[in-house]
Amino acid sequence: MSRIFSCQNQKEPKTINLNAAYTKEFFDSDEDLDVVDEFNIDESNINKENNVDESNINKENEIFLSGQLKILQRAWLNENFSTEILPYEPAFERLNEILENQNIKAESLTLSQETSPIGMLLFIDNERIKYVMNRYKRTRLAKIEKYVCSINENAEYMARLSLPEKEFAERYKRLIEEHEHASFLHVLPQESLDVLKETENGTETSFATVEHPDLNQAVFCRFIKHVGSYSFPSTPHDKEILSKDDAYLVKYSDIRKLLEDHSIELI
Amino acid sequence: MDKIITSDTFTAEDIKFLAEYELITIEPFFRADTFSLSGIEYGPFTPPIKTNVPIWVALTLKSQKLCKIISPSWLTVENLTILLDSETKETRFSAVPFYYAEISRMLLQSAEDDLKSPGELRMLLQQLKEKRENKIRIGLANLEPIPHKINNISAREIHIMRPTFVMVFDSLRRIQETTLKKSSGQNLSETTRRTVDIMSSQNIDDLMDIEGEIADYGEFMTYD
Repeated sequence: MSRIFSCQNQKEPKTINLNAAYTKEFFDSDEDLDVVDEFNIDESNINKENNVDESNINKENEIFLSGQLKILQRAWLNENFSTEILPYEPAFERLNEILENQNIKAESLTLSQETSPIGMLLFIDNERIKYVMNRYKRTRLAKIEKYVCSINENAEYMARLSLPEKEFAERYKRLIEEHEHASFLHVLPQESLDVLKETENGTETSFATVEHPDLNQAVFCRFIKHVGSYSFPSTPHDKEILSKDDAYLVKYSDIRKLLEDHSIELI
Repeated sequence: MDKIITSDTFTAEDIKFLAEYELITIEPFFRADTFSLSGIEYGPFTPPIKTNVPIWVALTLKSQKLCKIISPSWLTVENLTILLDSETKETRFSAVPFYYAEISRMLLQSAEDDLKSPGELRMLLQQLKEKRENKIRIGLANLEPIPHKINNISAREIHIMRPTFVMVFDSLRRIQETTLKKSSGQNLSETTRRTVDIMSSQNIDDLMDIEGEIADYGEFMTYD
């Protein structure tokens, strides 16, 4: 089941339309190969023609897209080292866009000038982006599976999931419940199950056996912004000056707020 | 990178992967315009002019003999000697780059000919690594309470510390919570006190087997 969701965003690149400029360049490439200085190919021409076709929107888009990989890498690490599920990172979708653009560019470059290392670098970069995306998705899926009941009960956690993840969490919970009911719960008397129910202010919340993320776990974090004078909630009397690049070993609950407003990253 | 990821665990390989995104200066041997990787522009590449690229790009180009890697300013015999000196004198960690172990290892492996006196660099890095690991071990034995500042710690060291430290602090926390409740009677508090005694005793290293973990990781990270 997890495979369905993890793969859906890693779709194959769209079929590549070699436009007129590329096709022309492709046929010219034989001549280029005969040039003595094989790396001294005038690449600016191709780029110009290419940019005219894809309009200036692409250029602006690229500026906006810069740094998205860094954001997703950070999100991956944060997700990996925190115990609770964190808000879904929209950079994921934007990277998909980068992937498609780069695939088209890389294919055309390798077709037109086999000697340039740029096409190869673009291919490798694509693989690396896919790796980060893959790890991010898998980390989240593993967490959803682990705390499936806790996440389903908590509206705040549910709001942090993307649509497919939400659907997965619900279906996975249903599957587990059906399985457990069919294998052993149906033979237990109802009273024995009631004993396990936790109550809060008189209303039933959940079963005592549901695994919740341990928010007090120790985590390593590093400040990516200057925060200034701050006291961690668990030690309210100690004031600390927190500046950029400071590293701490802290309780997760102490830095939960800081993680939310992106003042720190988990390492 | 082609292998299918089946687990969600963070490995030493992942640290290397992230370290490969740090920028490094190269001297290209080919001509090319600026181009963008993951939305960030690099270049232009004109032979004698130096430019900055991520380490993985530098190493890929290097493997095809398309560039010369300029060694980072901290990876020199002089600088490492200074670092080693301050590491010996002070109780704090000296200021090394976050991915110093991974970067230096990658460069020593794939771009040895671009570094000055690589043999000496290897020796200094090995000494630096041992000094810092020793500090971690002392830190664990002291068991300072969290929040605990650990500036200038490197990615590799956190990776070694994590399993042990997280486990130690979580068990200590549980003991504290139980002792605070005080509702469980004499027997339990007697047990917890004894556990605290054991945990803060001299045998902490044997108890946590941190030596074993460092040895495991060290094998991967030796500067051979």
